[in-house]
Amino acid sequence: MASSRRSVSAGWLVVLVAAAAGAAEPVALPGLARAPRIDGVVEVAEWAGALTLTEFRETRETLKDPAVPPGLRTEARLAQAPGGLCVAFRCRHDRLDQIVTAAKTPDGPTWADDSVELFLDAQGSKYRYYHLIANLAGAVYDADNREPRKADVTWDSGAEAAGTLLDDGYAIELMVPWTSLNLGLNRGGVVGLNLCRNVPYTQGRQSLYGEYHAPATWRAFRVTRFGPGSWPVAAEAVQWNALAGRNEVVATLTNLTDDPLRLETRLEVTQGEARQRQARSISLPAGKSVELRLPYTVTEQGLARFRLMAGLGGREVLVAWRAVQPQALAAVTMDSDVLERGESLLVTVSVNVAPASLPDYAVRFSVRSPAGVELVRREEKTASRRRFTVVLETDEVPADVARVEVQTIVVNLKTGAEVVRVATPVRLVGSPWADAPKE
Amino acid sequence: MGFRILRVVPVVLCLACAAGAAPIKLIFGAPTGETPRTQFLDFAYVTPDTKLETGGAWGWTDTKRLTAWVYANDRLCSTPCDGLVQHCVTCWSGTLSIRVPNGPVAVHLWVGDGFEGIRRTMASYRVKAEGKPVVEEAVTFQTIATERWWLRGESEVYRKQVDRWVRQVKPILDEYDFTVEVTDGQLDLAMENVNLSALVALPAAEAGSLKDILAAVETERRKQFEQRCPWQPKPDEPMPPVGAKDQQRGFVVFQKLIDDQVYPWTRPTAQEVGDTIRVFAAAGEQEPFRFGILPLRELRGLSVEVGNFAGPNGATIDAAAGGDLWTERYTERGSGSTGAQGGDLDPACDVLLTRGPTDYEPGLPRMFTYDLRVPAEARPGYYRAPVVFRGAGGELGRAELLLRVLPWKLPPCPVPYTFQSTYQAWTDLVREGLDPQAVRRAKEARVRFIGRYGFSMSYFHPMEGWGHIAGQPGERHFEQTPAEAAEMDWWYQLAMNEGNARNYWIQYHWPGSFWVRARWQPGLDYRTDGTGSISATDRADLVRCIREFEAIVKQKGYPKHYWYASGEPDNFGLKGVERGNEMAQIVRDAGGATLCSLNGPIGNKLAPPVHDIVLANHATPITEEFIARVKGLGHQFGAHNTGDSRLSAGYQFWRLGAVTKFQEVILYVAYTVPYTYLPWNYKAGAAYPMSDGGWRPTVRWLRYRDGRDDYVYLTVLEQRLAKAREAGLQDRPAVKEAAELVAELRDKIYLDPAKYFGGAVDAKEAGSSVAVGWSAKRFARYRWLVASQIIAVDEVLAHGK
Repeated sequence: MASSRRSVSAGWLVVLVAAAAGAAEPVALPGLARAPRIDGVVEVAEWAGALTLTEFRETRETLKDPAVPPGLRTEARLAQAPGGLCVAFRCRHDRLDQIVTAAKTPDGPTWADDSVELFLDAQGSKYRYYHLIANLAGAVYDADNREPRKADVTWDSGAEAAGTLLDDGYAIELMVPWTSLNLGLNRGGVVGLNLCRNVPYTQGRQSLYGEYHAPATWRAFRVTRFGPGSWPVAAEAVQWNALAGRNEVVATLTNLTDDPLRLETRLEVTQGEARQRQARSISLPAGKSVELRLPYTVTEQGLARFRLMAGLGGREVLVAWRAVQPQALAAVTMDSDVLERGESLLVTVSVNVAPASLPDYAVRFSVRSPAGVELVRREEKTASRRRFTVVLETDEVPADVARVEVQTIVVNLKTGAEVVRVATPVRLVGSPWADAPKE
Repeated sequence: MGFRILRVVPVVLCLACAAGAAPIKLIFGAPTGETPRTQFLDFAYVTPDTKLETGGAWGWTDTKRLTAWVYANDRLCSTPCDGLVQHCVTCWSGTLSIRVPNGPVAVHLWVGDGFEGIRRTMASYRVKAEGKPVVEEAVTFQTIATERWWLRGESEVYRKQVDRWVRQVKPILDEYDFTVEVTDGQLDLAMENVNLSALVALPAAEAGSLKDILAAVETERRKQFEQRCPWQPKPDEPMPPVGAKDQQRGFVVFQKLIDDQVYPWTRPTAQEVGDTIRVFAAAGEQEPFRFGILPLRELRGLSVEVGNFAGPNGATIDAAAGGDLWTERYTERGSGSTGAQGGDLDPACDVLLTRGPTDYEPGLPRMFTYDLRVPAEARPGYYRAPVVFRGAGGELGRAELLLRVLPWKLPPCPVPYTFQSTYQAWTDLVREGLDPQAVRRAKEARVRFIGRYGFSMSYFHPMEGWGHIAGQPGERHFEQTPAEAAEMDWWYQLAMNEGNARNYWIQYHWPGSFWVRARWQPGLDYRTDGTGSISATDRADLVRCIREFEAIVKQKGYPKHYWYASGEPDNFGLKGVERGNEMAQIVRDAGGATLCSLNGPIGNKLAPPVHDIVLANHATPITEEFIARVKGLGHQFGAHNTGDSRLSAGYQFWRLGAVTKFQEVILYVAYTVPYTYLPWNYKAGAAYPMSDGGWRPTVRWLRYRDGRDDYVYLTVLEQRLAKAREAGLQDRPAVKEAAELVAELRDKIYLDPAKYFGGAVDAKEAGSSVAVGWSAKRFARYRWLVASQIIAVDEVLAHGK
């Protein structure tokens, strides 16, 4: 959580757009010449000209009074900047000791924290929308809801968020890049929007317009740049692979214009200190879709951040984002760690590398006595099998051995290096039927 | 089921006025801005707000009582299988009118919806067209528990080439056809309790085209079902070796463990094939023999019988009196949560039925479970019982059950495993034509069901007619007439004697309904969400009445009561927690003891000091520090909704060291249509209803019971170890080994139940860097490991000195 600072927002001008909230006519979103610095500090100067919105209502059914208590009032600022849609929340909080900030990772359960939400119907469909939630730690949950309340959390917005704890509450700033919102599909320049706030200690759910996940109830705003004229390319689908190893991103890009386009595409992958970049120039016929494939390699070590950019004439017109923790290189499960003597053991191995990397690995199994003597040994080439089950026989284990250790070792055949070694102690017990009389 | 032509009005064709009129196609639902949800083919969407008077071709002309629903990814319904069942208007009392040319009009109605499946069965319903009855359905206490309504699909036998749309989707809606003569240019459909989904009306002269419309509707519904609920059966597993004996009799016999999942494509392994089905159990224990046949050819009229067990020195066990033989029914599990996610479409053997001779086709395994109650006085040793398979032409073959009775007795579970046996357990009995005596018998049967499996009926809800509040505000008392005292005693005796509550204590669900049912006047103005308030007068009266109720409990010798003062208070934030604490303080002022179930961080902070028993679920969260804090306050810790699997009932519960396991939804038997059909949200009940009002078990129920017994086995081993320590035998090798096992298990099992939710096997247990899932085999081997350690320590205790 950011350090405590005194609020600088006391002098906000309250522009009464709320009075227009019920009106049918879309309201023009004011523009900022420069995007505010997203640091959780709501500076008056950098938000000057933004809409100030104060008419949050309590919507939780069990809190029957829709009026927000004075100690929990919320103010928001909303504007469009050249880089993206900008929102700032100033949240008063009368029980600072009850503020919850538990989620720290991308797409974590920020909704259970003291948090703020942006619902954005970027295509004006009143059905499909993007949903972002940010908490004081700047953790962001973002999802593409292709229908209300049905979230695809594999979509990432590339949004920046930051929060600051204040003496009487907290503030959060959020900016969502235009390039991730497929605004080329928006032909009318009207977007639907709602801002909300969650208060765990009262179970409060404050909403500015209408209801949380009901795009038909939100407020309509006009944005300046929309449609194919500003955003000539849309991303129909972007598929990332969360496996460690050599992968490729598969993106289906659509030319929304009536002219052929020459796109410069670039994939940037960051994982810890490691950075990769792939670039490709592609032709997009007028009104057509093209599948773009770009390779990348990630390891299981740490969060991988992807940024796939499409540029036209030096300008970014589309960006797809993803932050994902690649799976561990191998997962091993066994059907028991207690066996009847002589009984076989089923070991299932999932080698979580990209298909192209599978032939590089082999898996060895070794059953050892407590003294370290190898009693059973077996090796499996992974070839094209990502997941396979091996039956390990234990009937060669001497009768006086009551405990063994089963080791599973994944080896990189190219380098000879052991990349995974896991071990499980297994008990051997006599059968309950050993002395059953024969019938 | 299906088309029911109840009444066809004699038709005088009026071709002139009917010719060329387009069919009217309507679907019904609640208003919504989410327009894609209101679209289905070329049907128009009608809400309760659609009035005929506004000039349209259709609308309501009488709206005495209409309610409506449209699916919105809400928590009360899984993804509806198509666009026809995802909305409805429930016309409790009203009239829908449609402007039509005079003459005979053919109408097709769809009744029902995808909302839990319950609404259609709420009450008898009827439709009158132009004043004449055309649909008349009796949904009453007498008819509800039949395959026509609540038990629809119960007797179905899963077949290999099953049309899953016909099995899962078609029965959701009831369809009706009728023709009616219209003389005033307006077709009036007066409806009572009708859950209206869709309607087609067209001139009877063009009724032939209705067939095409219905075919188009079915085609679209099938298409949407495939899109929304895609599913393919898995390929058959490899066949085991088949011997000449199996070929000759036409089937392979095999054993499965109770925790094995069996699907239509399951095949036994070579190790599982055999005619001897083995089980070991302690005296007094209940244990299932689970076996199956894999037919190799068509088996006509197959039935199974189990004969008596013959044991050591002439000992016998009566198979009929000592156990239940069940045929397992394939069932799609669907979604077991309110999240409507993760619906499992694979049919798995689950519901346990009593079935007579049945035809079985080759290549589809059929499972049976003989659930034995080993007599408490059974001699240790080996017992055998014959299993006879008969076909239409006589005996087909035999197998045998081999039972090893262990040389020790399984005691009753030391702590109560309880359920939400309150309103969910009885609401399905409250219907039109209610028979009070039958309701009472059903309640008895349900309490017996809980008690029969060794669980506890010690959590319950106050019922009607147990007492009344006398006196004016400031002087209120809880009093009983002799009849009220008798009514309350009937219930307590039932819970104590048939539901095992005598062994434990009572978790008494009271804050609201008890006083309502006792006719507290004027009504109390407090709610568990923290709203309302308790006046000083009411508070003093509550203390007095609770004290008087406690005195009755003591005088009657009923078990100790823990007044359930706060249930999942974090649902309501700080106010909810504070209200729960306020209620607890009232009970304490009356000299009573209280209990709460926590589900979040606010309750975690504030509730433990004021409740004598603190139950908690994973969201609290449950940590070593939390449990230590509860105990440090001199209070007891219990488990609430920590899981309904064998692991959560067994080793994980043991790891918690809790004084009770309160698992709510496992007995939500009446929550959703039980047997086959979508919708299936919250299909978490591990018991199923029967036509007599009682309940029947499932494989999952027996797994839960076996988990409970895993817990009892471990507590028995701990007791034996304590005895060995008292006797100074702790250094004997067998005792040390058993102590090591207990310590190892304590180290292995996570305290946090959420680690195992959804059958997670990522629990990397102590001493291992490999996730060892809790497979059926692992449960069985651990059970034997613990049993053999008990036997070994008993040997030391018997001969140690």
